[in-house]
Amino acid sequence: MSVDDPLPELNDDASTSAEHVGASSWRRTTTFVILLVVSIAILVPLYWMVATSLKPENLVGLFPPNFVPAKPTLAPYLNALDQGSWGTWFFNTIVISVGTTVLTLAIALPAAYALARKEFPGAKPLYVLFLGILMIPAQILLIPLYVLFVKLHLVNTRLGLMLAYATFFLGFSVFLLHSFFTNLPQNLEDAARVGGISEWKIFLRIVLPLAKPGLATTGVFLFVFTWNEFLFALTFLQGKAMYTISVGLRVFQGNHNTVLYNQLFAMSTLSTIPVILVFAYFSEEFIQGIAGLELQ
Amino acid sequence: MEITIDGLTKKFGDLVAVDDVSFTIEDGAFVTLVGPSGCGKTTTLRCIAGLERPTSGRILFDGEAVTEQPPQERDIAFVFQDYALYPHMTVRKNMAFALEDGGMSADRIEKTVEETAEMLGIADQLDKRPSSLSGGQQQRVALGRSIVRDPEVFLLDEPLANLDAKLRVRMRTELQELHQRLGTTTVYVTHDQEEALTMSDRIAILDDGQLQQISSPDEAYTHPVNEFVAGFIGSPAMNIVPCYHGGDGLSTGAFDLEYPGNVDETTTVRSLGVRPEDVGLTEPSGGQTTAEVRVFEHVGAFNVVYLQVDSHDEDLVAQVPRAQKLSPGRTVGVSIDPRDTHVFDEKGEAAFNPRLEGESPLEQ
Repeated sequence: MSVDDPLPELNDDASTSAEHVGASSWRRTTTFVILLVVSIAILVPLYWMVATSLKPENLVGLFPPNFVPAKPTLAPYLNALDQGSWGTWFFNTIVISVGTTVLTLAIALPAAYALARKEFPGAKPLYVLFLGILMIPAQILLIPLYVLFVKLHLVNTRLGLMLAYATFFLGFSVFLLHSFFTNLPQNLEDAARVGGISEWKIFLRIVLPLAKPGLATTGVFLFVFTWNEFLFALTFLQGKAMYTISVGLRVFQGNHNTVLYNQLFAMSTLSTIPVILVFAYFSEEFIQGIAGLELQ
Repeated sequence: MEITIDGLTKKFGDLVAVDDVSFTIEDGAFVTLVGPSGCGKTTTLRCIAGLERPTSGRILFDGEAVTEQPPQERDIAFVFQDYALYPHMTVRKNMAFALEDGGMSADRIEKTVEETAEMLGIADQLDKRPSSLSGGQQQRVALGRSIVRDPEVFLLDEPLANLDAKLRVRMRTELQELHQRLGTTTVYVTHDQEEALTMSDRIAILDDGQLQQISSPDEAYTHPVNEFVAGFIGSPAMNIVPCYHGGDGLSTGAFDLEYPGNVDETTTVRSLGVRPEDVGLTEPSGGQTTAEVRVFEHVGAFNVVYLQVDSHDEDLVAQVPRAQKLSPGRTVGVSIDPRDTHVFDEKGEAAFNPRLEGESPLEQ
């Protein structure tokens, strides 16, 4: 073997690692640009909403638009609050969102766990059926549900809307939780099983605590979806006393297609706050959960 | 507790993981299931635990069928290769968790956990989470979690596989001591034949879902029932070369040997095996044939020599005493005593094993 032999190898290594560094920095830049664009796309409308909510009536809809409100005022907020029974509507929205989240999780959790872990006849077709629900558009589900709920006297009740949401979101929730349970190491449950721990205790004390990120992710999704939902709420809630915020925001639509944008955006801003709080509270688990999903 | 495995078969779809395996593990014994990956050893262990449901066959504990019982009712402990510690609980909680439902008072649980932790040298780790422990410490927690329950059977699935070499050897000894102290029936799964040989009362060697041999480690080494066991047990592995009837005995091409033991021209032969320690190296003029040293390895207690037999392109491995040093390229004489050989018939079953008293290498 000649003394020169190792040199080409070294060179090879050097060029590969240089290429590698180049590739990874290029990748990082691309990722950064994409994230930047997406962030702007999300933040600009939010900013526009808040900015408009602080403008007096006569400064809304100017062209060219003024991005920073010249004379910020809280008047739109005060005026908007007089336009509807916001207290009741906030209360309804909170009850329905929390109720739907709890109800859907309570049904989806055991279902997803059983489908992910237990062997029983028909498990696979059943899971496919849950996935099938995901593909039904809300508009198609709406009519039969409405007819059924009329017969059950569930129209114009909070419980009715919660049940309708739970029906619609069940497939999605089972699908999401199923993938979290499938990702949990089976050995932990087996270790408890050979330790003599009952199946229920395994579910409650081992599986649920470990599935917390998955639970939080699904829960946050459910809460936010329900909070913002309009079509079902508009259909099922008929008396003003039952309205949720998303339905209530229609009060700013005048008779002649005129919309009081600054007041609408003021209430929209207020109604976004609970969603942001919920998200902030669960953000750590939510991010863990999303990252966990990505690993599959 | 005596464990009987009777005609155990486990299929996963079309794959037969365990194929009609039967054997008995005596009360208090330390039995190792050993074999290459995919041989069915872990599946057998999981069937004993009740974590897999056999496709057919029975499992009996002290003569009583437990095949249909869930793992919860079997009074066993299982240590997993990855330890399977509950990441959201402290070490103390990990060890106490299974005791909570057993009707034991909180004080006694606390005492049992602390005594066990003391015995395993993890008493100062009790309030930590598993993720902050080293591999060896996690291993001890996994053992501790099993020991506190005082089970009838210990099932260990490659518990040392994730440890570094030095720690593995130490834990091997600790596990043996533990078994001697507790006297609990233990079934140990490993792919490492050295672990199997050193730790167990008996070893069950599996290949392709089938039980090849169950015997004492010594017997598996000196008296392998077939070519697979001969090649699998022992490190460096036995030299196994094709052979045929030739001259006045058996021939491998490079070596012409007298018929050993009761082997004669009526025996159908396929191959001949010789342990590296039974390959004799001499000066070139003194051997049955000559060979070139290709690689020389210092293992420590002995040296391993990889040889190429000059005349026949046959590779041989020899084991020589530590003091004997041979440089690559050197020519040596090689001789094999037919009484030290293992002869395998056309099916690969042992037709002859050197089992004469005083001559088996482990008894010297």
